Parts: sequence; structure tokens; C-alpha cells
Amino acid sequence: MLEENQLVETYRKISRELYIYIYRLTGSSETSEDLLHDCFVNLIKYSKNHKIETKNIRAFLYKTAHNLSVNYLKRRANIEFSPIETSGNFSTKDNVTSEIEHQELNDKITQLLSGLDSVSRSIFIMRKEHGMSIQEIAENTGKSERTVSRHLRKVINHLENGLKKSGFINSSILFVSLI
Amino acid sequence: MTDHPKKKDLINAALSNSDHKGGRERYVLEHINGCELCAKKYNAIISMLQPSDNSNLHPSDQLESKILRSYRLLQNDKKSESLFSSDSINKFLKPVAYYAAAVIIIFSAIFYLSDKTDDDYAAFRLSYKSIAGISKINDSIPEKNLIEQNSTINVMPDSRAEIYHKNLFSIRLAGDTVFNVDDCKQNTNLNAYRLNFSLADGKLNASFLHGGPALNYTFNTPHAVIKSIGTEFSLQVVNEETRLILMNGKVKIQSNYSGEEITASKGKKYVVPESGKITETEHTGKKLFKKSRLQSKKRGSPVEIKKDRKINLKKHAAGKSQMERAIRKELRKEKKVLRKEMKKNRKEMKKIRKSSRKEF
Repeated sequence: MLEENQLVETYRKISRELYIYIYRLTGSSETSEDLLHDCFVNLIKYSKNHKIETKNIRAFLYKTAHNLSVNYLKRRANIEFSPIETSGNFSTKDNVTSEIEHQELNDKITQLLSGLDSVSRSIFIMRKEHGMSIQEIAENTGKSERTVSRHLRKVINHLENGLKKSGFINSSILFVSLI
Repeated sequence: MTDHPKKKDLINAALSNSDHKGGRERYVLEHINGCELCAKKYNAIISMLQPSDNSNLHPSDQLESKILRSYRLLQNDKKSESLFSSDSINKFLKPVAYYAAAVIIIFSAIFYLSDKTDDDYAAFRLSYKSIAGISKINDSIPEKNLIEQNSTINVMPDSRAEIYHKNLFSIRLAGDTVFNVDDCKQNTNLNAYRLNFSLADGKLNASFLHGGPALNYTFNTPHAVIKSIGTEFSLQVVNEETRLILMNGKVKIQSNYSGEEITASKGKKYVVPESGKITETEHTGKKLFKKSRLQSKKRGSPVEIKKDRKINLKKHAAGKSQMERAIRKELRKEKKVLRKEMKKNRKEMKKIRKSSRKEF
């Protein structure tokens, strides 16, 4: 079984990262905390019967978080767009107008993401929020690299189509403020 | 090269890490440097992959302590489990489990086979029919029309039910009757049946086929046991006595109290009281039911019955249409009258218009 100090160290290193990932996926802070707690409890239970190396703990936690979040989303009857409580700002300028535009765009992306299946969302969020490589994502989700890149392409195409329809981008003028 | 890269290549280039770009991705990047349109597309994809501002996102401070609490709980569980999960105890329990499983399998095989090899009689299900009112099988209203052995049929007051098997026998139960099917088994090799019934309360009328398969049946009441092969009789339990009316065949009646056994005669009525001798009298009364299932078959062949039904239906339909015809006749007459009036009105209107035009 994991030792207490090892558990605390792991928690302090990874908890925020995992929390952001789960939060971006579920959209609720309470749910994210519950799922994060469940991830660590699963880790403790697993370590009771199996030996787990320090280098594998991160991948284990991400995999658990992915599975728990996906199951949670599947259980919900409607994958509705629920505005994130504290939306992240996309702005790179001090201009208030551009901040509002960024906010709108971010909300639109979140809304479009909510229309996708939970696995694709999870993979995209790992890439978007944590900048993980395809290899890392494949390790964390237990899928092949090819599957991961397929999911990512699918999400990007979906976002592009959605943003075009809603007027955020067109073929020539793209969201210049973000470049 | 002037060919623009495909969208798929742009996406792959955006997704791949900066340090590990393959040949194709490098080509895309080189193209982008010289092509404004593709550069815009590429940048759009990159911007979609930009992370959100997560500076405000933190799990609460209590979460760490919550996790540590769970850790300590699980640690305590582990300690209590270890007393019972040591290797030595496992080694002891395994062979015991195997032995117990083997014993259970052997006994269940013996039990199963013994039932089958008991003179090669196998249980079968009787047919059930509710003739009128409500009847319950094992205290519930039956969904299927089949009864298994060890079932109790409760016929409600003012109700009737029937239990039968093909054309071999029929037992009709009157209202307010409690009847048990204790045993019903069949030997397909010998074409024989073994039946045990109990009448706790109420009345029944039973018919068993003569000259067919061997029907060995027994009716038990609180006061008597009736055994026979191929018979028709009426049996009743009322006022702490059992009454039997034998219509056809032979029956042996044995009193549970005195042990007296007699062979009943056709057309006679027998009463077995709680205490005392079996009494025999002439039966002058009517049967419980007018027709039994076996008797109703004498009415005619199924084809004849169908013909009768068709004739009846035609008569019924004819009667109905006569009424309808009469109503339709009247309606037609009224319509005729209305049409005549309409015609008259139109002619008059035409005249009025003509005259008004002339005036103008």
C-alpha cells in the first residue's frame, strides 16, 4: 500500500492539474472535487493489492480520472451546455471589448464541445489545457495514438464548423485577436 | 511547391509537438511561411488548442484532508482483513470449499435422478380453465392456463373452474372450493398417469376416460380417500362430512376414522361422516354441472359446430340490417322532399333576378 507521505506528495504535485482537467470536462466544481477524491481513493485501493511505481502514478490517475469523468457524463441524460462558473479568459490584451469577444468565443467552444461524446472531449481537453502530446494522451486514456489523433481531428473539424456557422470565423478572416 | 496542404495535414502539423515534426509537417510549415491563406487556417487551429485561463481553478483545501481520512480508513480495513486472509488460512479453506462443492453436486445429482427414476414417472402440468368468476392458483390470479403439482386452487364464491388434461379427465370445481393438486405424473413408456388430489372444502365433479391410458388417481378429503381408475363421480366436503355420488364406473371409499372400506355402486350416494360408518342411499338429485367437457364433445364435430355458429351470425346480422334499411329508407324520402324544395327555390330566385334586370 502507498505510504502516507507518498500519497501527500503525489496529491500536491498532480491534484490541481487533474482538477482542471476534470473541471473542464464536467463543468462543475463540486463534481470535479468528488471525482478527484474518487481518483485518489482508487489509487489507494489499487496500491493495496498491487505494486505501483512512482513513474506510473500520474498515468494511472489520469486514466482513472478519464474513466470516472466519462462515466459521469454518460450517466447524465443530457449533455447540456452549462456555463462554466469561472470561465477562463482568453484575452491577451487589456481591451475590454476584446475580452468580451474572447469570453464569447470561449463559451462558444465549450458549448460546441458539450455536443461531442465524452471520450473525444476528454482527449481534446488533455491536449488543450495541459498541452499533452498524442503519446501521453494515448497512455493516459489507454487508447492507441492513431485513435487519439483521430479524435482530435474530429473535434477540431467540429469546432471549426460550429464556429463558422456562428460567425466567429469565416474562410478568410479568422479570429485575429487570438493570434 | 504551390499545392496547398490538405486540412488533415494542417491539423496534424498543429497537433504534433514542435520538437518532433515529421517530413510532412515540415513541408506544411514551410508552405505556411509563404502562403497567407494557409497560415491563417493553421493559426486558427492553433488558437483552438490554446489553453484557457485556469488561474482561478483550485481544488478546495479540505479535499486533501478528506483524501487522507479515506486513506486511514482503508488502512484500518486492511489490518482487520489480514487476520483472515493469511496464506495459511487460505490453504486450509480451499480444500474444504472443494469438498463441500463436490458433496453438494453429488447430492443434487442423486436427488434429481431419483425423481426421474421413480418408476419412470415424470411430472407434467395440467390444463386449467376459469369457467366463471374468479379463481386463484397459489393465492394469485393465474397468468397461464397450466397448473403444476403441489398447487392449490381457490375457487371464489359464485365462480367455477375446470382442471383437465387432453380428453383423459376433467374435474370441475364449484364456487367456494379449495382444491389441491398434490401429485400429477406421467409414464410415457407405459402410457399411464398417477394423480393425487385433495379436496379440503367445497364441491367438484370429476370425469375420467374409460378404455384409454391407465389413470391411477386418488382424491383425499379430510374424512376419506377415494381411489379409482376410469370413473365419473361427484364429491363434496360439507358440514364435517364427505359426500360421494357415483355416476359411472367403480370407486372404493375408505373412511379415515373407522378404516372401513367399501366399493361404491353406480347411482348411489355415500356419506362419510367425521365419526361413524359410511352410509349409502339412493341418489335422486341432479348433477353439479349440466355437461362436463367430455360430454360436450358428443354435441357434434367441430365442423358442425362452426356451421351452426355461421348460421347464427347471419341471422343476427340480418336482423340488424333490417333496422338499418328502414332508417335509410326514411332518410332517402326526406332527402327527396328537400331536393324538390331546393329546386323550387332556385326557380323562384331565377325569376326574381330576371325581373330585377329588366327593371334596370
